Amino acid sequence: MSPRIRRPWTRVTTVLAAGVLLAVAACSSDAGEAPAKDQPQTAAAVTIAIPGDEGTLTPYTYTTGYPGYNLLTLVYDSLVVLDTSNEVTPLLATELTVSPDSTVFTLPLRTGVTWHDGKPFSADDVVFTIDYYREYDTVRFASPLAGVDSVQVRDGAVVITLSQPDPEFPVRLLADMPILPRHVWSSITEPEKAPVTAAVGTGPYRLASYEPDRRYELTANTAYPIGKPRIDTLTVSVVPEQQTALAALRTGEVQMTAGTVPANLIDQLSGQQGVTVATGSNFGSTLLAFNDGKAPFDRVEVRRAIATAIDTTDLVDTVLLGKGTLGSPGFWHPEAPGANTSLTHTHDPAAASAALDAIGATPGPDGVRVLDGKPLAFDLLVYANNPDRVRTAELITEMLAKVGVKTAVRAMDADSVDAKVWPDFDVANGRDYDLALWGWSAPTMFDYTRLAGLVASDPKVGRLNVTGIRDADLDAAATALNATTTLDDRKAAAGELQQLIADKAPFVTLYYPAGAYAYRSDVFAGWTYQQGAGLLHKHSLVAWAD
Amino acid sequence: MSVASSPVRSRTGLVRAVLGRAGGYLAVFAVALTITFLLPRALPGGPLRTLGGADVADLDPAVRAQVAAAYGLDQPLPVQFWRYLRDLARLDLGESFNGGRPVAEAIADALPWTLLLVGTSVLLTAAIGVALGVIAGLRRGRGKGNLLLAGVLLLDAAPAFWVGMLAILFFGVHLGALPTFGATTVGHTGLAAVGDVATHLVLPVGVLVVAGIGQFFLVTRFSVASALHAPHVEHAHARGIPHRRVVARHLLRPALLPVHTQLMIELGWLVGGALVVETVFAYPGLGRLTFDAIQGRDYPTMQATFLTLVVTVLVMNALADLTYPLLDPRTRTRGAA
Amino acid sequence: MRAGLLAGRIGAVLLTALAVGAVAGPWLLSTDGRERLAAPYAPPSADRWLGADDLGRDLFAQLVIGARGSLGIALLVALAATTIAALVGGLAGLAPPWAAGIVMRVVDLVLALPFLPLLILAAAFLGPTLGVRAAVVAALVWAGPARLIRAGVLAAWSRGHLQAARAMGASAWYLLLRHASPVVAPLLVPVFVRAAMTAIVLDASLAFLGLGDPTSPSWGTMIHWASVRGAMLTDAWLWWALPPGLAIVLTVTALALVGVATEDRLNPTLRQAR
Repeated sequence: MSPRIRRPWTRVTTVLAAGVLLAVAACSSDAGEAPAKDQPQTAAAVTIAIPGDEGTLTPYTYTTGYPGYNLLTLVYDSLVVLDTSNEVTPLLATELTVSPDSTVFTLPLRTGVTWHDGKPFSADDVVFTIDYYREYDTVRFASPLAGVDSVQVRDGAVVITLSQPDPEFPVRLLADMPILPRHVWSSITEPEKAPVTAAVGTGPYRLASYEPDRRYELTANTAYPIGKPRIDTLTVSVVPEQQTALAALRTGEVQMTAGTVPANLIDQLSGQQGVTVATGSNFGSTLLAFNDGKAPFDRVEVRRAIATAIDTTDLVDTVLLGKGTLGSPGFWHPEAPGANTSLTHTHDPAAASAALDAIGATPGPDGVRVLDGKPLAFDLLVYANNPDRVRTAELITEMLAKVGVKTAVRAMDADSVDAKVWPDFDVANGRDYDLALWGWSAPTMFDYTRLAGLVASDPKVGRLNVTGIRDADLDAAATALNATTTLDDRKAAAGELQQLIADKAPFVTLYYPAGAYAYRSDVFAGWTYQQGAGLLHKHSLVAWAD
Repeated sequence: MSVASSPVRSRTGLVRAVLGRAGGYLAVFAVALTITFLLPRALPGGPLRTLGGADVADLDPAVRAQVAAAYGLDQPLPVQFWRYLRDLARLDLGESFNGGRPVAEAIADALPWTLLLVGTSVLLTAAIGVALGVIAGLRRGRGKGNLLLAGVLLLDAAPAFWVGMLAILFFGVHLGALPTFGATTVGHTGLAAVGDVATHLVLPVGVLVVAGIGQFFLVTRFSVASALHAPHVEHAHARGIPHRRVVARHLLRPALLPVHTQLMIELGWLVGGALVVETVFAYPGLGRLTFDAIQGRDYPTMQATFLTLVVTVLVMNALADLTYPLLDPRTRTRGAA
Repeated sequence: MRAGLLAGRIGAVLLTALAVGAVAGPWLLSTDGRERLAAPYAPPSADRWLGADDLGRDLFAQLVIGARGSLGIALLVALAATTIAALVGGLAGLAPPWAAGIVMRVVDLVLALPFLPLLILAAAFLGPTLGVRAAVVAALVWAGPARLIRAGVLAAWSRGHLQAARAMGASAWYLLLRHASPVVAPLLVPVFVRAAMTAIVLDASLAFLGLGDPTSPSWGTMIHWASVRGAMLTDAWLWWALPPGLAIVLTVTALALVGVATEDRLNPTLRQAR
């Protein structure tokens, strides 16, 4: 159905790599080729198809992490930004200086920047923004800002001091947090209902019109001092049906589709005159989640055996047609910063059977194994609107049947699945399932503390612990990771935690689907693939001044 | 599908009957109102994802509770129901959980498109269906009539979404003749804008007409064929009234009564929108609004769209009941007696 | 008339053929449509007449087996809806006006109920199985026909013997079974046929919207997968989306032919003309 594949965690992009540090593995991108004559780098008008409405495009009212937040970043600027190779680079701040103990962050501000309504941007706005997000704390920025001890303005520079060292602060907050105009937002007391008139930023595009559920019109901010917008008018149209969006791309009614192109259409679409498909890594993951608190999944032997029975290579080759990366048993994408690349998945049905035999789970008369008097027969929950996952669930059913474990695929609407796996998005509320196909979006892979969050048993730390794993070793490793104060230490701790996750198998990391985005390169070919973020970001749509 | 009207014997009886009917409809409305309130809340999951937006998973549980409380969701159900009724009495449909947009505004935005899309297709469907039905009815049992019957049934049998997909493929992608999605393109003014809206209507309306024509066709064909041999028609023929006039006056008018009922039923469904077609063609109507509200567990929008649907169906139903005796000379005379 | 009879016969033959195919077809296949036998998206070949789906499973087998799902739901819904409609409509036609009024208002209510959330609700709590889907569809489809049947019974009052029987103290059930059933019974065929038509198309539409069970074999499911896998943008629409759509068209047309033929036959004014 609709291409709006709702991920448990809808914020997909943006909190990208601890990019200060690492060269990010290469991504294959058709868009990376040298521009030819019929590859225009600017355009008068471009229409983008998105799957659903995105609210009034303010930090409090946009709807999805992708593409909603990406559109938001065209209107709003942050202090720094991650470039296409995910390194932190200046934006509203001209520079970022970090104290050696990762507590003081100094950001001299750019001059000559104006808001879309013509008023000048100043350090006041930055201070106001931080205060505002702390006061109205229904945004993700509130949590990293909770550790802010003071914000001062010195010689046109904003100086942020943290009470605790946070080596990941620039990526987690500074490159993510949109700066709000004080003169507009100071009168807004119900930010969740911010009207469209509040969508005023300093960004390269201004929101010219918004027709709910139908379209947005963004026009180039000609006064943008940091670069030149490449497109004069950017129309963003809501097209719920992916098939219709791709048809419209072929007819030329839209010039870019925000949704990922299904793997089987990539070649077909790229063969089309004037159409290009850019592919690259996406750090979103697909997992098989066990309910680790419930028998028999409380036994590590059962979890390991099931993991071993699954042929992840077959999943990637069949479901994704090879357009994806094999899951690392340590969860972390092998191309993401801090990956423990020594971990690989083992597929060995014979070993899985032997392991199940060893714990006394012998096959009953119908071939289904019985453990402690209960047959190993489970429901496997999956989002009905996510075709790849439904197919994966079907293949896993096949694979597990071979080792005497029976699963029944139950495809349900996304909220119904969430209500069972992650009720009210709070792991403290428990869970009600056996097996579920689950996934985390890309930002998880850029914040080491999230790795700890996946497996820590304390719900305050283990916020993403939807499997309900409770394991002393994992807890200790998670605590150790969160206590590190330098990026190097944190990375090392993350490496160890990945090793431990691979060993304890609280879930099975199956694969990471690749991103593939189609656009009309005969109209506008300026799109560049930012790893994990896709094409829809400032770097595609702005020619930077230098 | 005919609407049964119980024989009414006297003026006071008529008044009593009308009052009884009104009471009945009121009772249905009350139950429907309760259902529109309870149904959204019975759905698994909740509006948290919509309320909290993209960041919901990152919020502190306490903050999350606060978000829900801001919309009164922390209150017990009876309190929420009371507030719903109170606001409704003030004609306040509430604010969408998705960004706090007034629901009335969202409905006001979507309604014209739905009326345009579904209204146009219902009228076209009725006109074409009735015309073909009359022809087939008059020629029932003859070669041409049967051919027509088979043709219409074949067309009608195709599911709307499937025809829609094929239509996009042929008219949009292969011929490039018609727009494939949306209701308008930006940048048109004046006459060009009207033309723009019209070209966007062609495919979805075409699909709806094809998918819906069977009902009208069959009803008309059947009643025309039946009336052909009704005593009053044969009598008229016997009196030597020209065939053409018999058909026009004595045959068509009474034969079209069931069509009227059918039309009322279809019009009642009108505001429900045409979800499937709206989805395929990304048409911004009420069906889509309802669907998105369901997916996002947006209680106020769900309540309001359900209510709109219920009220329209009931009103059209009542209208069908009330107008039927006016149109049917037989029941009219009986009522007057 | 002969042509009308012919139409009915054609419909009946088609339906029988489809039913036989649905029941016997799967026995003749060498695969159950769930085995992966070919490369994903394999085009048609001599072995696989309609090629393979996105997992490399035989599409022709799915078409044959899908008939069970689609005809099954049609049969279940039509049976359930017709039974409910006959009982409710029949009794409402015989009950005293105040009771009939209440029943008919319930019918109004059902006609006005928002359908999709009910389906999600049922699917979430009971699972999106064929039976549950059929139950939900049936729960909504019976209401219209119930009205029709009540109208039929009301018309029968005018013939007098119903009134006579009641005057003699017969119960509503007795009236329904003994006297109203000859009036109601002929109406049931078109009601049954129409409910079956509605069920097939509705179930396919739900599958298309992603509200069905994407793993249960039916024609609607096939079209759903063809759609989400973008078959319309490749040549695959020809062997993936077209055949199940045509199968639906064929079935619904066959049902409609039977329905029209019975209506024509049963209509007393038409019979006269023979």
